Amino acid sequence: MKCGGQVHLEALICFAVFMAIVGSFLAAMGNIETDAKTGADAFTAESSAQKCAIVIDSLYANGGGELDNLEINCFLKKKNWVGSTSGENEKIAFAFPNEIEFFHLGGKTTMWVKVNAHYR
Amino acid sequence: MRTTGEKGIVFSIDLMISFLAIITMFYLILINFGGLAEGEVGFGKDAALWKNSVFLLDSMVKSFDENGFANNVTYFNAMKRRVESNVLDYAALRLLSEKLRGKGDLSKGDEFFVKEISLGYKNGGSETLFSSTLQGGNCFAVERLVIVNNGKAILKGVVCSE
Repeated sequence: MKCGGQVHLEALICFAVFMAIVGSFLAAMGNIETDAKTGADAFTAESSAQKCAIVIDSLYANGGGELDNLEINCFLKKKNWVGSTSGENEKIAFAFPNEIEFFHLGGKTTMWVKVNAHYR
Repeated sequence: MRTTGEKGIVFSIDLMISFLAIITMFYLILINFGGLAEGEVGFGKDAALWKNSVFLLDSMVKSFDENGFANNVTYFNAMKRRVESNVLDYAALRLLSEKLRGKGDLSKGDEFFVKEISLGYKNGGSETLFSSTLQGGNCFAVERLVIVNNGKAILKGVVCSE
């Protein structure tokens, strides 16, 4: 048989442990949300960079040329590599042409891919 | 047998074990959630490798760029004054082969490398134009029907991740 003071102490410890678990769970949920957002940004950047590289490679395989009003968020990172950003994430993708140019005029982006001597 | 009422809930070994089991399950579920985003990015890398394999052969057989990666092998028809898609210049293919052999491998950065380029002829014969000794991770093989020396052939390219 326990006295009233011991019962109160056990109840207090139980409540403290319960609150600690709830706190840990909420912190873990917060981490999941942050990780999910980072993962989604990384995936968006990766897919945009790959889409951009696909458009460039398609132009390259079909005689080159230019594409106006490009709606994909991408830029030339370095020779043969295009990049895209989403949030804090930046991803790059390989493209075959050596000569790629992006022109930004009046809020519109034009992409130009040069192929030598398809028609001579 | 002692009950939780006698010893208090936080001192029960049975309950502690149950509690640990539930927490472990939650932990495993959270790890699984975290792995989903990583898995999506990994899938993106496979898609990029597939894209590079397809477009390598596509640009090889359809376009001509003397400064390009490997696509200076399409046949130029002087009469029509244009490059003929899907028709390959055998002499240029041999030159490309020699160039690649001299280089040792056909790497383009840290994303992928070309493992093999070969021709399969209609009579069953085949000719390996280039073969790398590098060992790759995932590999994709892409084939294209081409015309070489006025005959049909299958151009095969194998591209691997590093």
